[in-house]
Amino acid sequence: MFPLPININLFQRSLTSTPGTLLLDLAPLCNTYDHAISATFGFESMSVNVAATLDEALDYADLLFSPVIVTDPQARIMWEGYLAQVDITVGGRSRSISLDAMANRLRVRYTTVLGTPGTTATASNTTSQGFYGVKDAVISTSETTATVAASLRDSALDSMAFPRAVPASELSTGAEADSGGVQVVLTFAGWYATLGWVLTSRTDTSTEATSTQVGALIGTASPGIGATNPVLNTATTNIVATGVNDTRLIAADTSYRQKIEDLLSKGNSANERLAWGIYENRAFTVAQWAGATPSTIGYRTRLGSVLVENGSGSLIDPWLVRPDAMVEEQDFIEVGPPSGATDLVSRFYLERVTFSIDQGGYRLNLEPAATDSLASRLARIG
Amino acid sequence: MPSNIWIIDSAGTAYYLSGPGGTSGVYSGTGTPWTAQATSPIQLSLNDKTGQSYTPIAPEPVEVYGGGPPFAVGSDLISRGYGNVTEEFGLQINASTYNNAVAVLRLLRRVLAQAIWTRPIILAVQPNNATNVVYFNIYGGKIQESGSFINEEAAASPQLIRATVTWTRSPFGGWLTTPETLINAVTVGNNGTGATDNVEALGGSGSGDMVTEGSPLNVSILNVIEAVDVVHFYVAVVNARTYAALGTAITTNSTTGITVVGSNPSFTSYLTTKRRPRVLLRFTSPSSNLQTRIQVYVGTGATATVYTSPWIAANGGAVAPAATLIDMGTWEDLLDQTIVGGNTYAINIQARSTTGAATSGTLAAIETLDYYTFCEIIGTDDPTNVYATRIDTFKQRSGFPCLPQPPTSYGYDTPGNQILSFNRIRGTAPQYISGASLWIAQFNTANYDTTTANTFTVTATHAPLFQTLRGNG
Repeated sequence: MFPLPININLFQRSLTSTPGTLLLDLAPLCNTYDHAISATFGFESMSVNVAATLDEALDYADLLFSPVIVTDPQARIMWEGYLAQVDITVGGRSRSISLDAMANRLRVRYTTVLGTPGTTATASNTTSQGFYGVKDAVISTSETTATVAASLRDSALDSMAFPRAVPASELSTGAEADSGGVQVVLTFAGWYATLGWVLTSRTDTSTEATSTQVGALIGTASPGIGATNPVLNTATTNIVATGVNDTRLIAADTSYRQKIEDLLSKGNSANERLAWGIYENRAFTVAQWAGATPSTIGYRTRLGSVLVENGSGSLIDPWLVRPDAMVEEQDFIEVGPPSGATDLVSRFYLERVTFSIDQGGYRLNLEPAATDSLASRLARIG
Repeated sequence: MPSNIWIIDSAGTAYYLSGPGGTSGVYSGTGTPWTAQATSPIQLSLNDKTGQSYTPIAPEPVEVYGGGPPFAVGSDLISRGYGNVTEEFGLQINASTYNNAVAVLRLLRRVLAQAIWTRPIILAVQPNNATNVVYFNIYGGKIQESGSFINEEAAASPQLIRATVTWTRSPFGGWLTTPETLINAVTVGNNGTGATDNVEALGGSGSGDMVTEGSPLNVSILNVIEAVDVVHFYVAVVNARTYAALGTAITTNSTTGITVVGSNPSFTSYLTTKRRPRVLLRFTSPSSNLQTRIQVYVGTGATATVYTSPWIAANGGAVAPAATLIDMGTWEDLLDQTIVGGNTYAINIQARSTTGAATSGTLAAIETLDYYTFCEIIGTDDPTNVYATRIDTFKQRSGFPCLPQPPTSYGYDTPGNQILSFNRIRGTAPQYISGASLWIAQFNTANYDTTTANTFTVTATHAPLFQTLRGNG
């Protein structure tokens, strides 16, 4: 158990936007916990290390895509997502199974020997979709026929339709082989990742506010992803108006995530960058980035203390620290900082937060933006 | 005469380790003399020659500190917990023959190994002249006989094994089977005011060593009045709860927000404790497009803001509720900081329309908690039976010590005590703190609609914990 009484509630799989029946609280079983939250993803990843019997470890492997909600001792949500990968280590051997390489709806794009392009119909494994929802993939091949392309589609679907073992299986001799006990690492992904599961297209070339388009793309009615995988909260309350219009056109085989990020990378009408992600209750959030007003400090830290203060000087529990905020180190005093500068020695824009707990205590890592240059913004647009 | 010390196996059989020694306790190969202290062939070491004598060792607190030199003087205490205790002591086994002596040794080893498949075995300690026994869980151990058994003392009669026992047990001991009742089937209300309100004192006479730090509490809530098949509660252990009726009618179409109540004076100051403050607002007939927010500041100038809540739907997610209770959140109280005298918390309550269309509702009351623990219980119940919800933080079963377990919550039907569902716990399950009170809020659905007239019957039992010996507790 941890020195911090959190709850890590794991629920039954559900293809709706709310968790199913509670399965168990993982916290009493965990040796370590860590999570990551980023300013253009939201709840990004979370993992726990669990001591288990062999039977229990095998049970975990059957729980991929189970929702998880992590709450702190004051009943506030720390992190939320779904089980994406299970790694089991026993007797010096390890096995891993993951949703990453899975695809249960496929089509093949091909060209004939004459260079004529074609696309097969989609094929689905409805059993897998009943467990995990739809996860698309497109395979490309060339100089073939429609019949062969369809055959390729079907054989690929057979091998990819269910969770795949990831390259992490190792057999070893010596002391490691005698290591007792079973260790299980459960890795969770934030719900934002499911936006990359489904491919879409749209021929409408009219323009519309990017924020409005994002709201439509997370909805349950076409063209929303919810019409296929209704696992996200469709509320748009936390999506601020961007004031920027862009085309509705979506090229074929574009994921919802790609289109949403393409729209939001345009920034807002004040020519400021946006921060976005999926947070509590699977709700999508879009806001002007905190770097637009760098003198408005979100968090304050001090050398010689692990305590974090908010901008008002009130203490913030470190596991509640979120990205998209300005962080100031109070012990540093800048002399004549240039106006308009976002990052200084004493302050920086918080792009990503990682937090971890183990038997020895907890650690909070505050990461600044690494790729915020004009060139990278242009690259996102291009 | 040594103190009475024995272990109890999974079948309930006692094995006395504090036998009389000499000719009174010699195993002849028949019967089960170890089941009585007067005849037990097992004797604890009493001096350095025979081995380390036994006394329960207090658990070492595992404290997590943060910060420190070279940038600060001292470190901040972040949290404290307790791990299992490993103890080592000596004992002797008296038997008529070598084989009988080894048979007793083997018996003890088998008992110590039981915990892997069955419940932990139980250690019972009752010092000489002590009224009460304290019970611990033993999770495993080993016994190593000394070389003298097969060497210089091989020809001794009766045969004597001197051995060192090393076992790992629970950090605390407790009572057996029956906990301490702090609240006994009391009717509790669902509002912060009235003759039957939502707070019940746990009292200041709880037993054990941990009542100022937090010791386990089991709470049973019998739903006397049911609405739908949902279990949904807030449960907190509080130092104080304040309630102020407001009755403020809200009418606005502002999307940026208006102040409904400013500088609410009912909030007490506790700027010098490590407890948490929490604010909850009660609404009646809130519109679906009404949101509320609070700003908490120190002092009456409304400039030193310490907490701003998010905008939260006043209808609590329910459709046209008659009444709601909305949790506006908590914040980290300023710790050990020097505050000029006379400052208190004050609250500014705001409201806004989410749509720009007219919104309405009545801000009926504000409740503020000065609390130790707070949790939310969410689950489903059986609409056809009278239903009870339990929150268990210690094991309460016949023949088991009442010792901490990971918190669980479940619902059961009161006619047959059949478990019907398992509930989710968000936050910290209730703990007993001496002098604190239990605060409960019940909701009608999975949302935050509530019926203030509801009442329910509450029972709270406590597991006194002891670091070593029990005494009068």
